[in-house]
Amino acid sequence: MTLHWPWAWLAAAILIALPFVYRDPYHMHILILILIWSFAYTSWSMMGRFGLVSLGHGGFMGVGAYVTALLWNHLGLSPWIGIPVSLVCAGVLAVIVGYPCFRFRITGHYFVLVTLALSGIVLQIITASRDYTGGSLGFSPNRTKGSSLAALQFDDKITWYLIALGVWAVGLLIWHWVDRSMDRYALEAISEDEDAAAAAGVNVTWEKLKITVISALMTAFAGALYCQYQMFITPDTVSGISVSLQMVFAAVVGGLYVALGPTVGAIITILLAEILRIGFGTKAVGWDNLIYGVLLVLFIIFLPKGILGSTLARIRTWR
Amino acid sequence: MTEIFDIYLLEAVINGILFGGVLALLALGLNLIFGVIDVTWICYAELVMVGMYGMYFLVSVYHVPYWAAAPMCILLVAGMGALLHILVIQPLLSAPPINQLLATGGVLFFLQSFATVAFGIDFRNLGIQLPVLTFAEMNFSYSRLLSFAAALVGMIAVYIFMKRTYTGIAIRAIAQDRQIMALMGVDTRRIYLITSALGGALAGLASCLLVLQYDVHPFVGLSFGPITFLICVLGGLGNFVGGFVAAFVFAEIISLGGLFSDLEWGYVLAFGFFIIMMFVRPGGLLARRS
Amino acid sequence: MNETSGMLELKTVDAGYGSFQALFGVSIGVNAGEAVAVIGPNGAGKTTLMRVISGLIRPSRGSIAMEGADVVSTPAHRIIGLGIAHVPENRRLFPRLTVEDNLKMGAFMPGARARCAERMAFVFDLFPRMKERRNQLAGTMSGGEQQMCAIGRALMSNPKLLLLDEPSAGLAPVQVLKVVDRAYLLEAGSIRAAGTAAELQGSDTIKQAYLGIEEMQR
Repeated sequence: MTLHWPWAWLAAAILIALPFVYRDPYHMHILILILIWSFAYTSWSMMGRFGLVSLGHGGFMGVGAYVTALLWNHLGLSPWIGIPVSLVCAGVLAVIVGYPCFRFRITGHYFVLVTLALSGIVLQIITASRDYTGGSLGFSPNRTKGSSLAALQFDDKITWYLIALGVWAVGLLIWHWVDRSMDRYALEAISEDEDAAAAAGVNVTWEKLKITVISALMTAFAGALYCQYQMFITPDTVSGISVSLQMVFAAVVGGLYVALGPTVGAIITILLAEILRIGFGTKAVGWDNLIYGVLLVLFIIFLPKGILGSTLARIRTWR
Repeated sequence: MTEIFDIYLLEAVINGILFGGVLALLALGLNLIFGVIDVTWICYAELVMVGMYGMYFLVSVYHVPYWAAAPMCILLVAGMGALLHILVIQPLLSAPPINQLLATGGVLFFLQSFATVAFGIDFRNLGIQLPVLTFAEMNFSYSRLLSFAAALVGMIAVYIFMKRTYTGIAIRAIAQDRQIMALMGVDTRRIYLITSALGGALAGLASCLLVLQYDVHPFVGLSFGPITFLICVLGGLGNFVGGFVAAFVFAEIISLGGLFSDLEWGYVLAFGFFIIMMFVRPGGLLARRS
Repeated sequence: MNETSGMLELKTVDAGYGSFQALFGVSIGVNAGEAVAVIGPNGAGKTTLMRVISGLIRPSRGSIAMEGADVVSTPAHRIIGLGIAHVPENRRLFPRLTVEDNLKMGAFMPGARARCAERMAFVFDLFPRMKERRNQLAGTMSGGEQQMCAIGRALMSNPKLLLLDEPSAGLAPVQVLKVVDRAYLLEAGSIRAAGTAAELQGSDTIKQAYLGIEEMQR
């Protein structure tokens, strides 16, 4: 999806100006969540769009969130150090799992299952180390009084909004950067026919590993950001299969192959969750995932390009 | 001191074998579906979860004797397998495999949340306490022993079915050459449906056995789902023998890991072993399909 | 041309793959008790023709009848029930099933299962080598043995019509014409010639079709 520059600048201006004009904290909160999760879903789609479907990104997000929080609480390390450390951890994890998979041509079903197991294992580790992580009961980074740049904690919704907006924009930029690079064509070739791509001189393992690491780092960053914003994480909200599937769902529904598709997916998932929460209160627990499950199946069967993707495809055929 | 240590070790090893029986059963079900229909049911463990709930309700709430409830449960999950195939897999048979996988992921979501909404997140127990067999200072629960025996019987029954009956041979044949099945008068849709029901039935049997040993809650599938996938990948998706062997290997690792620390670390150890195996790449990673 | 109401009758059949048409208005008849060959160069459409008859492909036009029963509207897996058995190109045995299991698959049809033992004895009689190898995996046999097994498998259902696709891969048409009663020449999807084996043996049309040799007698 090409960036039409005048429109983009206008949209950017509106988005940046928004919180200064309209300050309802609840709506801000929703917007921030949408932006953070959009970034997370976009990170997943970096791989997903090339057929490298991972059901393990919950693991990366969990690593990002928990490593940052743990280093802060137990070792007093500022998130400025903690986040890079967690990114390194996520990257290492991505390489450990990704390298043998790609080197030995583990693709398709196999790859998905391995990533699925990965997120499951990360969840188990978090739960098992309950002495440090609080297990299923959740974990909170220690609060500092007021806003603190060193601790990356801000009371002010506007600050968080701008941070989230910036991160989200960077995510889209990375998407475009990959789009324009030679790697994009290499990866598309790989997703069509690995052997042919290899025969054409593409270093399949290296390309796949690159995009996986990029995706993992971005996802971990989303996890860390989420942790700093919400100030409370549990294994289920940031890691595990549910999160992984949620990412898939959002990307598929929004439109996997389109830059803004995951963002549309985030808007849908978060709004849906909020509507259910408002409508049903605590009885809503589980209903949102139930609806996701049904919608995911229906979308895969009837609208695999997602809402945005299908709409764009329609527009193209009209022209 | 070392004597006691050895006994505990032996006990863990044997418990590993017993646990391996049920894992092998699960792996068989998953391999069957993949080997024949070429799809992976990501939600396989969730089917087991539903079966476990079924047993809970039949036995604990409606007081149906266990021996009567088990066949009903197996039929229930078999039916669910068939339903899954008709509603979700069949429309997607010509879609990219990723779509099929993701669709079953949606079903996983759906089943977990359905259980949460319908039954709540509390842990439920069947309430059946089977005695413990003490043998040479080692303790083995009868539920473990029974599970192992039943799993073995189940697998032998499937083996005989596949070798001796026409439908069984057709199931094996369709995995090897789908296109000419019509020439033999085989309705591929029917065979797929039967296979799906069989996969479901195996999950149902597993659920009857697991419910004796573990509590049931909506997310219980997460406890053995990932492990089952790892087993099948290591054994080779679609490779029945490979899955069988890998199941016992993993079960041993989990059991021995549990000996030295919390059970969860046993799973982590198993995953670490899996990763190492992937680097080392034994023959187990060579499968018929990728 | 024969206008007999034969056992198998194709009338003006068009068929193809997607937008690619492979058969154009093909009309063929086979009577009970006779051997009919369809000969033609590579790519003529012979395999397509076989697939159309056994139901693996649907014709876009025309009719196919087996002893009067309409084949086109019969689901593919029921066509064997009409008495048509097809030995596909490249044999297509189930490589990891034994010879015996492959043969059993030939008798899968409910009507055939009751006679399975009887038919298998017939096949083993016809191909003693298969009896020796009954427990061997089909994929490990030689090409000739696989051919025997494939034909045996097709015979298990006691068919009225046996379709053999390229059983003698690449055999010269002259040789084929020596063993059949009648033949059709199929070229680029259309029937170019038809007649008894004797009639076609002397014909120049065959030579032209296969070798593109112009008539040299002028």
